[in-house]
Amino acid sequence: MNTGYKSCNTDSCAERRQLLYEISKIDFVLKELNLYLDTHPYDQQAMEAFKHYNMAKNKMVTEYTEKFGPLVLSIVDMDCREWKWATQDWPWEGGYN
Amino acid sequence: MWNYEKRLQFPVKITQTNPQIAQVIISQYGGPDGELAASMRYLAQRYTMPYNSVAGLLTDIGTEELAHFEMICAIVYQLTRNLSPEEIAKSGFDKYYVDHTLALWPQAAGGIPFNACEFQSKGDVITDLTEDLAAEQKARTTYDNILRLVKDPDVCEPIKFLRAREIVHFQRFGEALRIAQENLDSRNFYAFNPEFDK
Repeated sequence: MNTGYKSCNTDSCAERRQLLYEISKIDFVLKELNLYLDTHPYDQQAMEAFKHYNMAKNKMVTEYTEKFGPLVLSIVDMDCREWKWATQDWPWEGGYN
Repeated sequence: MWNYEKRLQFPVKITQTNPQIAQVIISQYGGPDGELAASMRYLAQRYTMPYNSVAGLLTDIGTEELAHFEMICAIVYQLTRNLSPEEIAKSGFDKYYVDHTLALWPQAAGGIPFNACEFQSKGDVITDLTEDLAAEQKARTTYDNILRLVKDPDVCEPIKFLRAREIVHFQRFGEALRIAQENLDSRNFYAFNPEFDK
């Protein structure tokens, strides 16, 4: 039986999905560097890489928040008409993730 | 302290229900080698861990495991979404459904409820890190067992991602054990327990 999951195919959905995919990829790199640095805390190359990808991730999350809604509460959605954190779907529904 | 990111670590988008396979995969939520036990194991062990870098690793892997049981729950949730009473009865999902309807509840595939006895926090550096190495391999074996039963790529892809993470964590815990041993008496690693003997 169908689970009811439908992939949204508009341009806006495609852009949103693509941006979230790029954020997930960068965050995966950050997670890997995070765990590696825990056991190699003096590896300067890894620290440089962490700094680089962390800045890139923040930039992309800010762009995502402005265009589509919040991913984290620390990067604030400036839209004051609606608290999208609560009104938009949660990630376990499938959605854009 | 924790913060939530409103996305899954790896996407879960399942189009076809499968209550039988949901009952198998739920073991990685509440079973003996599941993600919930993994997270609680590492987050419990860290307080008495005497080496900052190892306590950091326990915190960060324990945190990643929270994102993993979120993925497992998303898989089980989507695999059982929109089930009819007929499908529930036919698939054998009725025994779970009668107590939990379609809600998530941590249990092993055999119906045994999640229990803190499923993870160890022993208060000895070598013992705990050896436990963690074994735990990652046990979880990897469970994912291998799941992958032999699952054919749907919507389900296989996130399970394969989780399986690969077990191997990475095993590698990092191996390095943590090396760090611990470098801090101990190389002639006798068991001469004293740095979590107790001062």
